[in-house]
Formats: sequence, structure tokens, C-alpha cells
Amino acid sequence: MGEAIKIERLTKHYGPRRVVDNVSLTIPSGCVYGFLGRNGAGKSTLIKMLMGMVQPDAGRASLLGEDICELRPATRARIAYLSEGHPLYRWMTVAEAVRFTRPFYAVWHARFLVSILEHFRIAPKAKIGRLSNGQRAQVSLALASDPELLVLDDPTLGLDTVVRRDFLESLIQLIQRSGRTILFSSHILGDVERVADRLGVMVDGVLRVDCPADRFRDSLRRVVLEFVGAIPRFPDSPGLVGQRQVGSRLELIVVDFGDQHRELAESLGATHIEIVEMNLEDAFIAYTRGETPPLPSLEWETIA
Amino acid sequence: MMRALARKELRELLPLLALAAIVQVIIVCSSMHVNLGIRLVTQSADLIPFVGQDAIWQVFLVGGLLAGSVGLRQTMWESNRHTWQFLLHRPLPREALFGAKLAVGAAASTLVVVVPILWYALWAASPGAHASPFFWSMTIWAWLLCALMPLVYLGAFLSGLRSARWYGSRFLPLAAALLAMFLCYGLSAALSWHVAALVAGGVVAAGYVAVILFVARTRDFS
Repeated sequence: MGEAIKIERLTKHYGPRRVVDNVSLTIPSGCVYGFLGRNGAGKSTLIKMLMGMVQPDAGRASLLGEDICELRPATRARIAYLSEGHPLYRWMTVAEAVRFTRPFYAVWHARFLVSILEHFRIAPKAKIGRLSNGQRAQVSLALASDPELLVLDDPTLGLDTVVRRDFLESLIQLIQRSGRTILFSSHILGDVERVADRLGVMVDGVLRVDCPADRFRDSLRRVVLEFVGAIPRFPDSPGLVGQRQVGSRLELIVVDFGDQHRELAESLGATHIEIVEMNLEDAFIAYTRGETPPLPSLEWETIA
Repeated sequence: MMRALARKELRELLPLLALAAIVQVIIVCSSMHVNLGIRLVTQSADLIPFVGQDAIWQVFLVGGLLAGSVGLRQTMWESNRHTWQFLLHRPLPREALFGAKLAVGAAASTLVVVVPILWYALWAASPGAHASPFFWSMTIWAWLLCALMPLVYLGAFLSGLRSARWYGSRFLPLAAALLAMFLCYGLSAALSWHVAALVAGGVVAAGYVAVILFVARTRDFS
């Protein structure tokens, strides 16, 4: 199986801020890769660099075996890119958008286009400016012309639950045939869980996780330590993602909790150790939130 | 595909071009003393066409405004609507995409001044149209301004394309293009170096095209 996407130490600064920091990643052909991260984590910038919309400051990447800086039109024709918000020319009708797009492609999959438009019941005469967000997403998908590699930047942003699910299911059904590759970013965990074989989590521009979706969920644990009296700080140790104090307890987020962590907890004087499994959403929040200061104790004041 | 691009650009510029064409018709008709019921300029009946205070110069004012608007429309509009990402992902070299935009924009903004000037010149050349002499050499300044009009367009295009602050250097390329245009026109008017003015204008325009293509290749379309 070949590599659809290969990224090596890709870096981008906006002013003094490093928005993408030394990201390296390989996505094999046929993989559905979900890119997770909070707003501003660097997902969109990374995708825009891959698509040649943003120039990297350092590093290199290739799509379908070709360097992104020298991507030939013929290779670009095999890649579809649905950018955030699905921008299309609003004055065009769907048929005009098709007429505009079609001449750029040597091979045009008319049946693919018609099947998507029919599936979503979009009339060719409909004006794009009058379509909903969801319908624009569907038209964008229809214009993709059956690509080998489909890159979607937050495709379900702003769509309601029903349209979102329908869009994702159609996406998988229509595109993921015979080794087609999908890279999509999202901050909706359910979408990623439903669709992705593999996921990456970006935090502050750094790719912190790149593993199968199940592995990510299974390896992360919330460990609750109970103390009597003062609560100590858990020492830095391999696998410790974060810690926070909640009342008389210390909550840890740990990857691959093992004997070493247990011994450390006992040496701190923990009276009780509870290990809690996490679903993908909890795992994601725990992973991306970072350390948070303890909540202040709330004191009620009587208002005269 | 170039035809598809050209059609899209023309369709987007159509409202601007139509508005400019209507204003140009009114100006030219007023200059030819044709009563349309609307009068944007007043021309005395004994004025010699293309000489002195001829109101036809207003065609260039409208043409300049249009050229600037077209340049900004083709760039800022794509930025504001976030459609660069859709357009630039079309499988075509970026130089060709921008080349198509520039060709349509420059041709449209030039035609909007060339056609009215040609119309007015043909009227002026017609025997009996007005009570004054006419030689085609009297129109040189007008043709030179027509030829220099793409500089305004290119300046506006670069102003809209490059990353800059509105309250900073945003309009610097447009200001520089206007300055270059007046200098070239000055060469022609003061020293009668018409060919030199044309060549200088061409060199500046080529420089602008090169910078535009460089910016298109290197800027972030985020």
C-alpha cells in the first residue's frame, strides 16, 4: 500500500506564533484519517499548506507521491479539496458551477456528479447563494469528480445533526471505494469516531497523537487519587498528560497507566486510587485541555 | 478551461462594465451635442474636439475609476468570499489562472475607454459634424491615455492581491501606478516622446504583471 500523504517536519509561523510545529505524518492510501483539535490548534493551516494555499516556513510534504510545491495540474485533478465553509461562487446555479468546473478535468465523472446531486435532491437550476450550508457542502462534494484523495477541512461545520450524519455517510459510501483516501479535520468527536480508521490530535500546532482511533480511546485513563489533608502535585512522569485538583482529589490523565504510576501515587500518600475508562470525547477533552487551575471555592454572599 | 475562466470573470464584471458603458455613452453623446435628456458634461458648441477644454477627458476619469474597481473586484471579492481556495484548487498552473484574470480585466477596462474615444474621434472626423478642423494627430494624447489605462488596473489588482493593511500600504501599488502613468503621459505631452512614453508604460506594466504573478505564487490564501 502506497502513501497518499507524507508530511515531514512541516512548520508555519504567523508572526511570532508557531501555528504548526514540526509536524510529521504519513497517511497510507485507502485510509480515512480524522484530524482532531480545538479551534486554533493548527489543523486548517496544516491542510492549507498541503493544498498549496499557505506556504510552509520549513519542512516538506507530498500528495500522491508528488511534492506539494511542484504539484502538477494532472495530480491536482486527482485530489479534491473541500475547504471550510464550502466557498463556491454564489451567483452561479449548480449547473453553472458544473459547467465552470468541468473543463478543468480531463476525466469527468458525470455519473458521480449526477448520483450525488440526485441523492441529495439538489436541482441543477438552484442558485448556490440560496442553498443552505449543508447543500453547499453536498454540491462541493459532487464537484469533486470522484477523486483518489479527498481532503476536507471541517466539512460538517455549521451543519445540523441530521444533515451532518447524512453527509458523512454519503461521503464514506460514495468516496471510500477501491483504495480512495480521505483526510478530514473536525472538532466534532462523533464524526471522527463514526468515520475515521485512524486519528491525529493537534494541540497548539503540535501533532500529539497519531494512532488508530481505538488505540487512542483505550490507552487513555482518568486516574482519581484521594488524599487526606494537603494534596501534593503528581511528579512529571512518562505518559502523564495533565493533572488537576478537584476538592480533596487529584485527577490525572495518563496514557498507558501502569505500575510505575501506581507506585508514584502510593508514595504520595493516596488513600484511594480509582481508574476510569474514557470515551473518545472525554479522552479528547482531557488530551487537549491541558492543565487547568483548580476552581475557586464559591462563597455565597447575601444580597441585601 | 481558459474560456470557462474568462466567462466567469466577465460575468462577475458585467454590472461594473455595464454601469461604466452607460456613463461613457452619456459623456460621449453630451460631447457630440446629442440630447439624451441626461447631461453629465456641458460642452460649448464652438469647442474643437480633442483640443483644449474638451469634456471628452471625462471618459478617462470614468475609465480610470472602472479600471481601479475592476482590479479590486477581481481580487478583494475572491478574498472576502473565500473563493480563492475553490478557484486555486482547479487543476491549472497558478500563472494561467491569474493570467486569465489579468487578460480579461485589462481588456475590459481598456475597451471601456477605447470604444468611446474611437466613437468620438469618428464623429469628429466626419465632415459637417462640427465647425472646426480635425486631424487624427490631434487624438494622439487620447490614444496614449488609452494605452496607459491598464496601469491603473494592474495597480489596483496588485493592491487587492497583496497582503497589507487598509490603513497602511494597501494602496501603494495603485498610487505608484498612477504616478507612472502621469510620468509617461508627461513624457509624451511635454517632449512629444510618444513612443518613449509607450515603451516606458509597457515596461512598468510588465513589471507589475511579474510582481502580481510572484505574489500569487508566494502569498498565503488562508
